[in-house]
Amino acid sequence: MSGAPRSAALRLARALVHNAPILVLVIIFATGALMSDRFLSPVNLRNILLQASIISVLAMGMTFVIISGGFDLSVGSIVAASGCVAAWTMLHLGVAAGVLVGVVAGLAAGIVNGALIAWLRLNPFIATLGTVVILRGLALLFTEGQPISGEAGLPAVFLDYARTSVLGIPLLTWTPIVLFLILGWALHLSAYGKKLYAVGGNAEAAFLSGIPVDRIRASAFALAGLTAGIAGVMLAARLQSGQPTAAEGYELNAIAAVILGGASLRGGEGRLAMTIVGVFIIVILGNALNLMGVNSYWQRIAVGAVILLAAAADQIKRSRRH
Amino acid sequence: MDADADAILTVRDLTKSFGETRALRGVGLNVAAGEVLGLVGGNGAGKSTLLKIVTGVYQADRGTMVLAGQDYRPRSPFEAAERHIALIPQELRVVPAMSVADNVMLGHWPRRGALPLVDARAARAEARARLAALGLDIDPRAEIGSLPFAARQSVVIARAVARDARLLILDEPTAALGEAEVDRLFDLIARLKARGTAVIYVSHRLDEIERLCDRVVALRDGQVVASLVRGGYRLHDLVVAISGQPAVQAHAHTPAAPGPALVAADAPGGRLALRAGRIGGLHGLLGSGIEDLLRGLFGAGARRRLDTPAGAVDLTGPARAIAAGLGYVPSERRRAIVPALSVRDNIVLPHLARYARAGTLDRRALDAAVVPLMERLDIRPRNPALPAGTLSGGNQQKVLFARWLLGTTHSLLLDEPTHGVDVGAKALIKAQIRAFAAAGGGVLMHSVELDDLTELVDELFLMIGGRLTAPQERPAAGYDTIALKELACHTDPMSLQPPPAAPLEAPGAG
Repeated sequence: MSGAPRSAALRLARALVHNAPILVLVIIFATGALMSDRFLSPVNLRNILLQASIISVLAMGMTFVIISGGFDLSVGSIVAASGCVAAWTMLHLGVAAGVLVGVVAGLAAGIVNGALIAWLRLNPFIATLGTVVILRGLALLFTEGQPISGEAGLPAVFLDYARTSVLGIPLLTWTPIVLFLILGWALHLSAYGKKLYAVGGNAEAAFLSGIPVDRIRASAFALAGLTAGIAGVMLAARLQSGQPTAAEGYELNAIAAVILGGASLRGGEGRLAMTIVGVFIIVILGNALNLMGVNSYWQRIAVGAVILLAAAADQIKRSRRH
Repeated sequence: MDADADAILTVRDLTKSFGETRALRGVGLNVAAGEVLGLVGGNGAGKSTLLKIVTGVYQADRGTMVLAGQDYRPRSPFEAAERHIALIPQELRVVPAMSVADNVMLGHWPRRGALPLVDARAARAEARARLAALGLDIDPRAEIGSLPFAARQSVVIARAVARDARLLILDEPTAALGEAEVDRLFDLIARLKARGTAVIYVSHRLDEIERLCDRVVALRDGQVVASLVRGGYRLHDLVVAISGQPAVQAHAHTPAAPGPALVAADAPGGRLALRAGRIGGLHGLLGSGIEDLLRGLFGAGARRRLDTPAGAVDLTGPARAIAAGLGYVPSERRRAIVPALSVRDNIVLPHLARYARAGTLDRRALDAAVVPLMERLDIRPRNPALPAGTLSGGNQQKVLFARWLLGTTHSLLLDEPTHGVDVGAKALIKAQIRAFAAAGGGVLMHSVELDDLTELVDELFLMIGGRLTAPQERPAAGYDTIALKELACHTDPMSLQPPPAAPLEAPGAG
C-alpha cells in the first residue's frame, strides 16, 4: 500500500511540528557539546541545572497564566520582594517561618494581581505593569535598598538548601522537579486543568458550561504569585541574602520560556513539559555562547532572535491550520 | 423601457453560482432616484448574493448592471463606494473611540494649510451641518462608541450622504431598533427620498416594507417571483410570494400530550414552561429578543428566577441552570465550542465534577460515556482526542448537542440548532431532538426558519412586538405556515386583527 508510508511520513512531520521545541533544544545542546569541550563537564552541567531551576519554577506558574489567556509582568518583582521578606523573617523568627512567610507573600501578591484582573477587569498587561513597579518599590523601601543577610549571615540550614545535593542533583533543582509533578497533574490530569484550558480557549464557552471564569482566571495569577514566592526563597538561598534589586527581567525569561514551549499568547494552549524545554533552550543557549567566549551582549541578541523565530514558526503553523 | 429611463441602478439577468449552488438565476430589477425599493425573501433566496454583487464583493457570472446611465461592474467594494453606492450593514462600521464628527468625515477630513493637518473645527462644523440637513440632532463632539445603536446608525447614514451616495442599501436596519427609533429612521429615509437618493431596503419585517416602500421585489430560489407596487398588494400576497407553496408537513404527527412542567419561568407576555416529552418552538423576526430570552433562561442574562418541581432556583449563572437540569446550545457555534480542547473535553465540560475522583479526571470512565455518544450522533472522525476545532461545522454542532446528552440534563434550550450545518447533520440533529423529547425530556427551540420549526414542534410561541403569544397547539394536519408567517412578520401586536391568540396574561388594562 502506498498510503501507509505517506501517512507514516505525515505522522512523523506532525510529531516534529508538535515537538519542535525538543528538536531545537537537542540542536542547541549538540552544538554546545561540539563547540566547547567544557560544555559537558559535570561542573557546567550542574551550573545549567542551577540556573534553570529558578526560571523553571517561575515559568511553570507563568504557563498557567498564559494558558488562562493572561499575562504576568510582575513575577520578577515578586521574587525580589518575597526573597527579602523571607530573609528578614528568617533572621527574626527562624528558618521555617521565613520560608513560609516568603512563599505566602508571593501568593498574596498573586492574589492581588488576580483580583485586579478577574474582578476589576483590568488588562493583565497594565495591571501587572503596575504591580511590578509597586512591588519593586516596596522591596526597596522595606530594605532601604540594602541586601538583608544579618550580622552573621542567614542561618546555615537555609544556605545548605542551595549548596547540598541529593542523589547527585542539587537540592535547589529538586524543588522544580517536585513542583513539576504537582502542577503537571493539576494542568493535564485534573478537572481544574480542563477548566483553565477552557477559560483561556474560549471564555464564553467556559461560562456557558457553568465554569466560574473569573475565579479560574484569578487562580492562575495566584498560582504564578505562589511560584514566584517559592522562586524568591530559592534565590535568597542562592544569593545568601534577600536582595531588593534581584531578579530584574526574570519575568521576561519566564514568558519567553513559555512561548518557546509552544504556548499561545491568545490562551488555551500550552504544555508544562514544553515550558521546561523552553527554559533549557534559553539557559543552554546562554551557557553555550558564554563558553564559546561570545560577548554577553550578543547572547541577549541571540535569545531574542530565538524567541522571534519561535513566534514566527507558531504563526506559520497557525495560518496553515486555517 | 420606461422604468429604466429614470433609474439610478438597473440590473438585468444577473446570474451567479457557487459550485453546484445557483444563488441567482437571471435577476432583474431597477430603482429610481427618490424611490424606496423593498427587497424581501427567505434565507437563501439570493438577497445577500445580489447585494454583494451590487456592492462589488462578488462578480456576477452573467448579466449587466447600469448605474446612472453608465455601465457598472464593480470589482471591489471600494469601487462601488467610488461610484456612490453605500451599504449600511447590520453590523455598523464605526471607529468607536472617535467623535461623531470624525466618523461622519472619516477619511475625508478637511485639511488645514499645506501640511497634512486636520482642521478639527471645520470638520465639526461640516459634520454638524450634514447631520442637521438630515434632521439629526446629534452632538458632533460626542464619542460615537458611547451613543445608542440608533444614533450610530444615523451617523453612518450621514457619512454615506456626505460622500454623495446616490444609492443607499439598508440591510435589516430595524432589527435592533425600538418602535420610536423605527419612526425616526423612516423620517430620515423620507428626507433621503426628498434629496433624490435611491434606497434599497432589505427586511424580513413585511409590515414595515408595506409602510415604507414604493415598490417591493420578492426573491425566491435566486429569481424575482413578485414585483409589487405600493397599494397594489396585501401582506398575504407578499408572504405567499416569499414562501412559495406551503411546505407539506412531512412529519405530520399528533402533538405529545403535555407532561409535567420540568422548568418554568416568567417571560415577556406570560409564563413559559418546558414540559416532559414536548418540543416547544419559538419564532420571531431577527432582533425579536428570543436569543436573550433563551440566554436568560439559562442564567446567562440578567439574574432571574426559575421554577422547578424541586423549588425555585435563583439563577445567578449558568452553573445553577445546569444543576437544575438545563442545557443550552447557542445560535453561534463559536460561542460554545473550545476549538483547542479535544472533542472529549468539549463534551464533558459542564460535567467535569462528575468525572473527577479526588480532583483527577477519570479518563476511562469519560471515554466509556463519550465514545457511545459519538457513535450515536455519528460525530466524525470518531476520535475523542482530536481538537474540536478541526471538526466540520456540522460535527461541532453535534459535539455541542452531545454535551447535554452526557449528564442528567432533562430540558434543552436550543437556539437555531440546525443553522449552518449540512443536510445529513441537520436530519440527525432533528432526529436527536425528537428522541430527547420522546425519552421524557423537554425542549424549547428557536428558529427564524418557521418551516424548520413547524416540522418538529408540538406547540409554537410567536414573539410579536417583544411579547410572546399563547402557545399554539400543533393541528393534526400540521401548521398553516403561510398564516403563521403573516402573523410573525408583524412588529406591532396592536396592528393584528383579529388577535392571533390571546396573550397568556392580560398585558395590563390598556
